[in-house]
Amino acid sequence: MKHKKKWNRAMITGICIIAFFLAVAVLAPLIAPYDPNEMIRGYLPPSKEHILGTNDVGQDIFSEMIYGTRVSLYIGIFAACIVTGIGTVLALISGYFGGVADKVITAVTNVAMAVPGLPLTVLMVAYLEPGKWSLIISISVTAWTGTMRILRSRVQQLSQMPFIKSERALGVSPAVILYRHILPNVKDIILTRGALTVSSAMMTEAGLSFLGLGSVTEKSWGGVLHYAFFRNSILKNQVWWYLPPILCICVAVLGFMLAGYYGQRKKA
Amino acid sequence: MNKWKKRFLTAVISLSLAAALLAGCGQDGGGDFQGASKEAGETTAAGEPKSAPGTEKTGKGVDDTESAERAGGGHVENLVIGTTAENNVFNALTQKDAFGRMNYNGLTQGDFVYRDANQELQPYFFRSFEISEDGKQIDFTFPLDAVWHDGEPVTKDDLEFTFEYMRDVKKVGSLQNLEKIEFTGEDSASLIFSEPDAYYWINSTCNNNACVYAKHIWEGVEDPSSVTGEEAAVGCGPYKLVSADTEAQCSVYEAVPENAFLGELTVDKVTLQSYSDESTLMMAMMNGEIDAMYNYANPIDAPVIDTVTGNEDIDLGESPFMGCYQLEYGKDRAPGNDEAFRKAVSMALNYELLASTINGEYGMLPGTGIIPPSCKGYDETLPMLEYDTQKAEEMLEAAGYIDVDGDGYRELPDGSQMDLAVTPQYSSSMDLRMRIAEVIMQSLDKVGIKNHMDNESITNSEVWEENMTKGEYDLSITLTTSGMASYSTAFRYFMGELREGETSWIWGTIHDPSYKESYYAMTGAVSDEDYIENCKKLQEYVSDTRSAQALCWETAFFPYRTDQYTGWENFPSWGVINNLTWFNLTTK
Repeated sequence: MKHKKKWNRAMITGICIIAFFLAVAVLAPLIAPYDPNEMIRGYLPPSKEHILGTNDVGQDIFSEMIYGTRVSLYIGIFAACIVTGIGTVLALISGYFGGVADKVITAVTNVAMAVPGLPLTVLMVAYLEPGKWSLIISISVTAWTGTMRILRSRVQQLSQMPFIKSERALGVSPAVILYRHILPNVKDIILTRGALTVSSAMMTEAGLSFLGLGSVTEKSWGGVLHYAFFRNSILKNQVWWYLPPILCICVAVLGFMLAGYYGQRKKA
Repeated sequence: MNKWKKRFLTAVISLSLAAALLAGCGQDGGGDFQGASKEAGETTAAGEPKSAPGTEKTGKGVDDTESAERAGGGHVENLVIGTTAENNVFNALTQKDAFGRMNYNGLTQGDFVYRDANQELQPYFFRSFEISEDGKQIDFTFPLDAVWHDGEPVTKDDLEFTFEYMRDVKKVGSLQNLEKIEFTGEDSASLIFSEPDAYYWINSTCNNNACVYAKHIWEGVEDPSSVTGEEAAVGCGPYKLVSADTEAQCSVYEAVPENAFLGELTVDKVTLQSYSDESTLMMAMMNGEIDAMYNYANPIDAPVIDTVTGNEDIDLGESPFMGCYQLEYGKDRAPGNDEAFRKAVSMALNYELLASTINGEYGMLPGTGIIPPSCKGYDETLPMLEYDTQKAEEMLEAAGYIDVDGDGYRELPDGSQMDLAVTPQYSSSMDLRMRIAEVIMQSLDKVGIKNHMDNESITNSEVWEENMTKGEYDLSITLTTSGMASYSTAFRYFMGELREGETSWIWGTIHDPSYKESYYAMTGAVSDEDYIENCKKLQEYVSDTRSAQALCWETAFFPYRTDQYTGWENFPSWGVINNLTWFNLTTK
């Protein structure tokens, strides 16, 4: 009953969208009518055979979009896991132990926050070997700071509460206190931040791929958009080429943002 | 105290913002050159007609009468040329950016000669020139009234300095055998070589800023790029740089009548405006912001040209392109060193798709001799490349490339794993090259050849260059520009080693001495017959051995507006902006 209260309409809609895209990603080989790398004939307009036509090298755009879901979600989810993981661990250490650990972690966080995120990401992607993990690492380098700061405050609050103090007095080890008592109490924040980080990582990935800095050999929504732009689909009014990746990015990001409403209630 | 601090801080911030705003409004990012005005619409008189350049021997200058007859209309007040090259560097010797590239058309520099629409060399700064039968001497005449843009006269000392500087400081390979420059008269001189390099030098450098250098500026300068002041732009060409705005990416040039080498200058002022990409360049042309475009060897991409097709005020400037994308097999290692393998791969490539990727509906299937029909010496007897995956698979099997372990990919004949690296030539804009690589990779995949993109090379120019110069690659995608194709040809890129004293473009892996011999016999030819004969030998060589191959033959587009001016001459593979534009273009 308690759990159900945390579910709301926005979050359910978000979960449905995410579930849809996850299903597409997992079932891509079954859904996609063509191998996304197969080259048929360039610049075919939408037809029964090719719902969204073909691109400049004759690849089926619909199949590209389906397979692109995999890369976009993969990068979004893994980047979010890393970012949230790093942010949470640092916040727990910093907020619970305080002292030197807190000062060091806070100082590192402040420095990381002062670094302009996007330029650093672009720079790192340009220097690393192109690929999904280069993108994930580049996105994660500075993105953990927000999660860390929010969680740290909450952990600091919790560690001053009587039930934590009594646990300490009883000689329970810090690892147990953090894992059994503090972590469950910051779960909502972690989930919300995680969902928001997925959407932000997906946007960054799309942006980097659009700039031509994405994974070279794998299809992603940003990559589809990049070639649509490079091959002048906008000037040539080839809506079927440039619009689907934009829509997919928007809807998927919306899905994760709505999922971030977990635990929020309407104001009375 | 706090209140005063706050007030002080607010005042400082407000003043800073106001100053930044004013600075932003007033900034022009560039400067005037040689004190000339840069106000819009201000023009300079073209000056008095100049006497006709000599037409002796091989000379074919445009004389005044001819120019005047052609003119018909009035002078062009301001010819606006669009480009996607940047307007940042204005250095006569570095060939960088829009300024450097425009000087291939003798804009601000006194280029010795130029290549006309028929690929023939014609005098420009040289009033006439003649090459001796043994190819060891060039006799030429030069103008006595030419001036540098800073007002100094062009002298014999400048000429002597130029050749010595090119040979000794710039280390121009084709001048390494230049013995001396000998002045034979008031306005005539001879270049004397110890080897028959006269044709080689003049042909290989004519599109490469072979022009007179100002001794008073460049003497003692070891690194030309280190000169960055106004003096770096000084030349003795028909136009001088009068203003450059790097913020607005625009530079303006005014006519210098004393340096009108081919007759009367009919264009009074030239404005060179940079655009971020080809799409915006075409939009600007459709809007009438620019009259023509110039981007050296980079014609407008086929998908972009479709956007201006049908506009009655724009001519597409279509011509067969002399350059081409090509694939070279790394022959320093397996399997590229196996001729049978190369021939099988050549049969496996989808040329139709490559053509449409590279040049849209205008792309053509290439021949086995690599160079396109528009190049001098093209051998039409050689076969065209063929696409047949079944035949390719049979050839691979016959050569011992069989899938031994059943993973769907073939192994080398000795049973070891095969995974080819596909390496596109590094460039600031890799999009098309990546697409070409994708098509090749897909074609190879279809016949069971495992392959991957050489990720390191595509992200790091140094890695790419190192791999190429060491021959550490399997399949390399490169581009021969139209300038290169006009004389040196793609064949230069494929040589494993150049002759002693030359260092550039050692990307190839052909170490066969007969190939090298034919190449230098072609470039050192003292007649067209010689050139063509050796050019055909090279085509035959690559056709037989399939050491390298073309990927597509292209159609080039250099569009221009036709509503205001007349007298455009579209040089194939080059466009309407060329050395003749300044003397032929008039108002309608």
